Amino acid sequence: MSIETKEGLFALMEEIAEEREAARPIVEQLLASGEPLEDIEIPEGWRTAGMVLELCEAATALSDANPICSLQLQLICISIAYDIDVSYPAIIVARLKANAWKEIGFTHFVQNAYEASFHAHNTALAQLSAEPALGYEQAKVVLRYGSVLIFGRRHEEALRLVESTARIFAEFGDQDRVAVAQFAAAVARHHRGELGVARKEYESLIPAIERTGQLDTLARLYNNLGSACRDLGDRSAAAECYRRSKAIQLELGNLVQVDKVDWGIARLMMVDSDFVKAEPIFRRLRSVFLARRMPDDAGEVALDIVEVLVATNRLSEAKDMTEQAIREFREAGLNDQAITAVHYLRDLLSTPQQARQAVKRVRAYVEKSKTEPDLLFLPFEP
Amino acid sequence: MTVLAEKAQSALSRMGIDFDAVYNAHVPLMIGIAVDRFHVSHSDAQTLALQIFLVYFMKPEDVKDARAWFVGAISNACRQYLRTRARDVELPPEIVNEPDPEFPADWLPNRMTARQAFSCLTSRCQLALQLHYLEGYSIPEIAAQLHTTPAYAKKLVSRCLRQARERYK
Repeated sequence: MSIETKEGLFALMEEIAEEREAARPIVEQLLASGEPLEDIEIPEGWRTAGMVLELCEAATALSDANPICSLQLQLICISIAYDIDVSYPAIIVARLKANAWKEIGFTHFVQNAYEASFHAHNTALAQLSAEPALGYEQAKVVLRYGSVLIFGRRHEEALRLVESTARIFAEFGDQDRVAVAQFAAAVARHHRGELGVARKEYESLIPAIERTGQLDTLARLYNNLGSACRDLGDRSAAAECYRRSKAIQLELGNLVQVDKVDWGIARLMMVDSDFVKAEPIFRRLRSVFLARRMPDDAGEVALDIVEVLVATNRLSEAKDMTEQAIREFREAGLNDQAITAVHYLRDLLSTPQQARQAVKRVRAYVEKSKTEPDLLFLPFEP
Repeated sequence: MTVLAEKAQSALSRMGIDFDAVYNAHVPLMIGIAVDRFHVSHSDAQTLALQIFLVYFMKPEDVKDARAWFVGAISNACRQYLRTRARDVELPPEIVNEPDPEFPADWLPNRMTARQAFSCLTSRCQLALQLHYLEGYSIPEIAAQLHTTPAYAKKLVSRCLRQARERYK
């Protein structure tokens, strides 16, 4: 269909709007049925741009709460988007494919699969690069990609990217996304260890993020601010930020994010040596992360539990938990060095005076080694 | 009568946005910016402006300040368009007018590899791949040949291709 004239353009828009209307009840039904979405046979009638848009929207809404289902929906989107290549103008197909890849990248990120996430974002960018009219979409993908890079510990690259998107969004007059890009830059600085700078930036961004009306982003901002305050030793400020973040996420029903805030709260309890309260939270989080196929996070929580057990002098339970963590890390494909480090921790648990420090050291190493596989583990010095 | 008015009960109008008004307010403006500020030809400027409008239509909720967004979008698109065009170098006419040469060395290894890979497959798979990749049949045409649905034919072709790749390694 031609989009060289206004009439052609509006005819195409009408067609897609009709397809979306037709797709909406199908997508709702698909989600309500609870049927497994893997290997689903895609009916001929689903192969429309409108269906991809509706599926993508549903998948995006689920990416936090149910990443597994979201990923399956996104894969259906991709499959249809590649199938309708010749039926729509190239710009639509590029936009549909890129959006699906971007969301796949985010779901991989939620599931701790950083490399897969990088690849998905790169694929999204490749789709967009040939179409000059998709500059805004390109900036959205770059912002998301930059945010993932932060967790991949590629801070410099992440900062450069997210700051460049802030300039692009400013050109589009999109002050909301400028604020989100500035938030991402603050997160990069936080992860780079500039706690004081990050705290100030987070605090200064609260009004701008409030103005966006994006409650989820506001909750994430408070969660990050909480962690910065905790690491700076301001425990009461940290507790208040976590409280606000959790209240918003509960209101939104973002259960994965509620759990992430709880993780921060439990770690804050550890700082206060409140092991009795922290332990059940860690145990609940561990089973939740395992059920959601977030193996890295589950493994890290296991090490938090080991720390609680060591601190409360339950060394044999700590050894069992370490064994379990080793098995899970191995199944999750964690690199050999990290597994050796956890093995080392298990051996060290026989000497209680060194055990707690060793847990912290190994946990920090495991966290880093996810994205820096070549990082050497230096054995604990007695 | 405007395009939108003709389709008062259309799916487009049910989206709750007066796209016709948005179009009239911003598309001529974008074309003007592309032509006057970036010296893009009128026809290319119109293509870019219509494409940007289509992007807006696909997610209008992204846009809060429409004027700023459309102005930013056309400026950004024109810069990208000009950068891309600057990188393109026209081929000399003697090459443009010549058909692509066909050397056996270009296609023979591929065809031999394909034949060897096909020999690792069942006859149904061989037929599906032969029809699709060597004879250029479309998926619906293959479905008709194999008396099955297009969805199954598509699955069959992709499964056979995967098998060929795995077995030929």
